[in-house]
Amino acid sequence: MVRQYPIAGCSQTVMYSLDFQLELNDFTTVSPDDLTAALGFQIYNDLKNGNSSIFNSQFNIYYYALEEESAEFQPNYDPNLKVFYLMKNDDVYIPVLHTKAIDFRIVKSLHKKLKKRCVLNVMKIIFMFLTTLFPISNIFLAVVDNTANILYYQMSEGLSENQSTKTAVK
Amino acid sequence: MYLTLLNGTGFVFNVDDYMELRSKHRIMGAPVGTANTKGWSPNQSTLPVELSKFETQLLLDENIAKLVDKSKDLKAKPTAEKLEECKADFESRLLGQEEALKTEKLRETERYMDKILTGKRKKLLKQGKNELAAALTDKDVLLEMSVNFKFDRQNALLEVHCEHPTDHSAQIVTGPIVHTNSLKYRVFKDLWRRGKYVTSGDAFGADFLVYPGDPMIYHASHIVILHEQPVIKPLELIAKVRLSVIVNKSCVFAYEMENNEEEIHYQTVAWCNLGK
Repeated sequence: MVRQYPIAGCSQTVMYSLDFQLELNDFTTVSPDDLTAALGFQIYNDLKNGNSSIFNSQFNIYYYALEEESAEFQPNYDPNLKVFYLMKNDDVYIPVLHTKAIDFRIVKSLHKKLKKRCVLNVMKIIFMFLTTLFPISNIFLAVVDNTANILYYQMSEGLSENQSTKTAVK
Repeated sequence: MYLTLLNGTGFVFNVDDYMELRSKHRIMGAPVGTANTKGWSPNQSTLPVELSKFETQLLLDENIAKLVDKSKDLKAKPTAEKLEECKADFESRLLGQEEALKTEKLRETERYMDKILTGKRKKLLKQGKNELAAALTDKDVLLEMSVNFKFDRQNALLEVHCEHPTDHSAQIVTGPIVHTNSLKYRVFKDLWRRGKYVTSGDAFGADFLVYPGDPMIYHASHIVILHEQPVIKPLELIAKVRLSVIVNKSCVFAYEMENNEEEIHYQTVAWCNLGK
């Protein structure tokens, strides 16, 4: 959704900025149900707000880049896997309600699907020289509990030895 | 290589066998013997080595070792002749310690010779025996120690339980000692075949610990939790991952698909500090 509005505190030469923020309706039209849409929107706001907090210590012009960056979030629904996920560049976020079971098969299938997409993009580069190579995505589970707290977990296939574990600070 | 069946699992009584299992086959086991007169201590444990049932079964499946049952022979009542022979052997081994202990005493005396000479000379001087004090030498002290040495059985060292010294019969144990189709055994075997060092994960609330090298040198890199089904409750996942973070290890869930395929699947899950 694109809207225009003045940014307070900016000079007169910068009167307007494009707002690429997603709205709840953007999730509703993609998600299979309202609950999933609400979860996705909540995660989007959490991740977006996490990024936009950087603006407070940066120049005003950086605001535009962050907004543009947050606009790269794309809600997706895979009817074959029956899974809704939020995608941004090479990262995938799957919203999970704390009362709903997590199916490792879906995560595994999504891994495979994203790997295939990478291969297809390579073919496009070879023959069309137009598509950017799409790296193998990182998949994150975003577990939402009944207090609206969100925990993120990176899912890796196999016995991953590159995980850097650290103490939770929250 | 032979393992001895005791308490439903395999035991290793030969030190060379144990070193081979550990260094060549990545089988850890647990030393459960002791040479401490005050009782067993985990810091001073020694042979025999008790293997877990999975370790024992793995060695059988991989044809690395055979399992034997000696209970029939060793529990049989010995003949009078055999009993006398056993007593004589024990006495011989016990007395063999006398010379070894004497040698050690003399070596220790040499180690502290300066202090011993100083003490003895001081004592002689107090008694007014100045000439004897001046003439006292190392040889005199060693000779005195050698002559006065008496072997007391209470000071004898305990024997480490090694391989049975005399000939005896045993029966080869056939058939598995664990359910080889169980998920836990198959995961253990799969991890071992991947070149990992695998031990029990009970102390960490998990099924297995995975080490990149010998546990004597390395810390475990992963904790492995088994799941009979590829589905997990979020709260259970959160609890296990949080535990893994605290102990600084990666959290891995091992599961199999429901279509009866034999492949083991592993999913590593790591907490990330995203969002606000």
